[in-house]
Amino acid sequence: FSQLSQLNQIMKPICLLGHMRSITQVRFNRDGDLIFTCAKDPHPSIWFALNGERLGSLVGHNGAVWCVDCRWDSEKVLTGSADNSAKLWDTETGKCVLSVDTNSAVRSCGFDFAGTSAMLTTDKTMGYKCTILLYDIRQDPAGQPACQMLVPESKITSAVWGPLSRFLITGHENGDLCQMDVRAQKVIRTEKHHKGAINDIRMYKDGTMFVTASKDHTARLIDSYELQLFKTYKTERPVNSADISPLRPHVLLGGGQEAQDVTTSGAHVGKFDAKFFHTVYEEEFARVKGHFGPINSVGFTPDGRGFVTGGEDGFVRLHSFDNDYFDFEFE
Amino acid sequence: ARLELLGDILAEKPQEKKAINNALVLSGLPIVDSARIERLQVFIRDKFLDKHGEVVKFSMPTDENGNSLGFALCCFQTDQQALDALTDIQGASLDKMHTLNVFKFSDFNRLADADDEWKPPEKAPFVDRGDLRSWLREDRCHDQFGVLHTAGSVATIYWHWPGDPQPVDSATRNNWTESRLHWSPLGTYLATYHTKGIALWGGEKFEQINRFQHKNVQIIDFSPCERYLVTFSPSVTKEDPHAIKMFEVDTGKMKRSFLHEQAAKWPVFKWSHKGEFFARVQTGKALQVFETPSFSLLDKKSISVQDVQDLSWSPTDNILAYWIAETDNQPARVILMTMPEKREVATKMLFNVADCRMHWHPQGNYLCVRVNRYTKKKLDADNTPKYINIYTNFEVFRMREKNIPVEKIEVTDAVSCFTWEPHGSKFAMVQGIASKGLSVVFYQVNAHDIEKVKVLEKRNVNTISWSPIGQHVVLAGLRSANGGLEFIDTSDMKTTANQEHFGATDIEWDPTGRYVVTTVSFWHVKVDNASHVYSSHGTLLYKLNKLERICQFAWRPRPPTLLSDEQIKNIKKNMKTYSRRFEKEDLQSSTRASKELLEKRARLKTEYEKWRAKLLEKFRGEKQKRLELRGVDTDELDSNAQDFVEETLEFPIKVERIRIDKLPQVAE
Repeated sequence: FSQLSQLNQIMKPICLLGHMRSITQVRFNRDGDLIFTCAKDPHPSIWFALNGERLGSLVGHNGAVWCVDCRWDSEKVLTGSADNSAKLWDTETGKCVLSVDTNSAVRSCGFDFAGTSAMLTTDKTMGYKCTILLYDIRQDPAGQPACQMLVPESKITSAVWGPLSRFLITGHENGDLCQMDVRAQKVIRTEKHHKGAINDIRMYKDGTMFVTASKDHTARLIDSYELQLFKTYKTERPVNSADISPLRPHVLLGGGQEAQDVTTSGAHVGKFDAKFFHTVYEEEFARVKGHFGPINSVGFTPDGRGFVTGGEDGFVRLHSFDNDYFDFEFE
Repeated sequence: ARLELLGDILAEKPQEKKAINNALVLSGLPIVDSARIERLQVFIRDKFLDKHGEVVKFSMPTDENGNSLGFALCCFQTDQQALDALTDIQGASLDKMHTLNVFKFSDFNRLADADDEWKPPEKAPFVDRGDLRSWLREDRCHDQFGVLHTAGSVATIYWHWPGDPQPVDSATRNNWTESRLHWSPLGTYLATYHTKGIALWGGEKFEQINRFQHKNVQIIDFSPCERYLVTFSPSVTKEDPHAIKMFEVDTGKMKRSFLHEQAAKWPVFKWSHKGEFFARVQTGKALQVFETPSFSLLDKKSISVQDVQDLSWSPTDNILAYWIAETDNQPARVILMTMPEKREVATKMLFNVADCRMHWHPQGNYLCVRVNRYTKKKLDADNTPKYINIYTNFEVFRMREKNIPVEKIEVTDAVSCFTWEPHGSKFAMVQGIASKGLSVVFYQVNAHDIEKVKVLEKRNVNTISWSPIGQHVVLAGLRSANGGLEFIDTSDMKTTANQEHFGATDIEWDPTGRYVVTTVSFWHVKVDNASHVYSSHGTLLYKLNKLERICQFAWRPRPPTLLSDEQIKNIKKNMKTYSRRFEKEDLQSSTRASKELLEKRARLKTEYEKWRAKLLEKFRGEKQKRLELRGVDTDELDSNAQDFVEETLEFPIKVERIRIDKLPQVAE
């Protein structure tokens, strides 16, 4: 823990106060100048990463917004909500250009590599099975999904596109990790590395590997092509979100107790830490305090010079690393 | 077929045998002539039998001349009464030459039916247990500790190599215990709980040493010498009504068992320091002191003490302390008595006593009796006493001084957590009530007085944990308090560190007094289960948080040192020469450890780079496809730099407001 003391420098976080309810996801655009945040309130927001000033909110949803994604060219934003709809927005104007209705809450969404298709996954609820839907968004209106696939067993809790968008990588409530070829309607591969629900999956910048965050108190580094487990990062609490630094061999974890488990310890000031692990050595080397509740979503800036965390407390904190962070080495 | 269905009902059919379980045979009686036989009968009934229940039948057989034959038969109304009588009067002496030998009539039949041919018992094969103390001879004198984790389903024993505890070979076992781990007092054995009873493990490989049968044991106790094990189980049956059993550790044999009559705190039987005696109180009536290895009452009888409430042994001498409640005619008393002589060495009268609690100094140098006294006493409707205005007195008995003088301290506040400093002469307690703020108060027992040396105010503390070698103490707020830990060096009463282990439920010093471990146990809190290891000065050394759902952390105790006080003094005097050698060894091992760590990391790095190289190959192979999908190269953040648009943003750095009262005149 001697390394810990080195990083206890004061990193000046910018606090983005825009949401009345818990944050569900925070995302950057590819260039790293915009931050997208969505929460359990119906208005996702877009912010300037430079100074934390809000560009605007996206108005249109009627329920909690579970997911948000920005297209690679930053022109369009995709959101999925508990109001049984997913919406496509124009980033610059904030106008909703497309809206599709689904049978149940949209849990994950994402643009494919080219930015011409959008994938949605919906929750399993009252008569409707968990479903993956693919839409061609060049069509206007998008109308019916180009294809869809039912997920019979454990519902999908997190999903991302695989390399070249040939398949989806899905994380399930029972800890399963699958490669799904939606167009061919088949499960290419399933691996069980986790013992609990997979809360988040984040791709490394080149898409060749990804990190999973799970309720089983661990985050794991896995390759995209064969779903082979390579590293495991252990903590004492459920991990809600994790991300890999594009710049240094570091993995960032955020988590905490589930909402219903929070008892008196919840009031403990700034107890919920963002945890940094060395990617290769699997050792925790730093913690950053600040949130008053569990951290629900984390992300490194695309240039790796900072990171953002969104919490159950409704706050989004944007941090920039001090010079020491870039020089810091494990012996 | 019908008989099978009624099987369970048939089992309840009254059977002839039952009648015999309430009959006892009393032998060892004097042989008297017909003139005195009636007097003998009355004597036996009065002294031994009537107090245990109703004697429905009594018979003392005689020979043809009317002389008694030396034994008698009696029948009680219930089996329970006969059993009570048996326990009580077995071995009682009538006079110098006659001792009662009592047994159940049913046993008599069993003995009479025994084989005529005597078969010599089979020789049990010799089992070499190996060296049960092997762990004490570890190179660097590291201690061991046991951790019960994964919600209690896995237990692991570790070597405490500071910063890098290593599991002992073959000492990680699934379902090793069904409830908790329990080390024997000198650390020789590890006891585990099972539905069928207790198992003891020990030796280098933690092999099973012995098993003790007792269904559903809930709690156990060892004699301080580890020769005996006492178990308690609430599951009693008609055939086996004894809830408390005592076993000999070496042989596994049950030596004695007892009924558990009244609600009592565990341990019900308290051991003397060498395991020669164990005693319990029959509240209000008597002290029962038993001796080993016979397991019978000392001098064959209880010590009758009216209104006796509780007893406690000195941890270093065969002195028994007990207190007697006050009655209308007599004040309360605390009495110290030596065993086996039963000589009173100290008595203290106490007035206006509501309750007493005895706290022995760990080295037996002092006994502190905490006395709750009242200013007024009322009697409730049902004659239970109600005490008004309780204040506390501490009566300190100086055990090592001639005539054992007693000194008193009075405290008006509410008091809790009284603890003695081991190997020292201080004691500490928490005073006050939570709503007004608790204080921790330290006292020092000097040659001629007891001095209040320090009061630490506004401390949210519910546990005072002293180092086993004295001097250092941790004030902790466990469980519902915030896990605050204050480390204090009592030689100068300075706080050496303030730490926090949020949610900590337990705290334990290692047997050498070098380390303190706080644990958040899964049994109380379901998250953040981990153990934190601190130095005696409060520096956090490392956290044991990679094990899931830790339930219990328990240091392995050590037997007391074999060095004399003189030798210890010499070692302390020559500390410099000893520490030089150890520092050299420490340096060597830490460079070795860091060398190993560096090698491990180098290996991991090479492995990782190989893995990444393979993935990068795939990535590069797909470049063409990526270009097609997006129309531009986006592999790096600046790959499409030609598309970058430069934007200038202006942010006001400072905004200043200047008030203009009058606009300047504008010349026309």
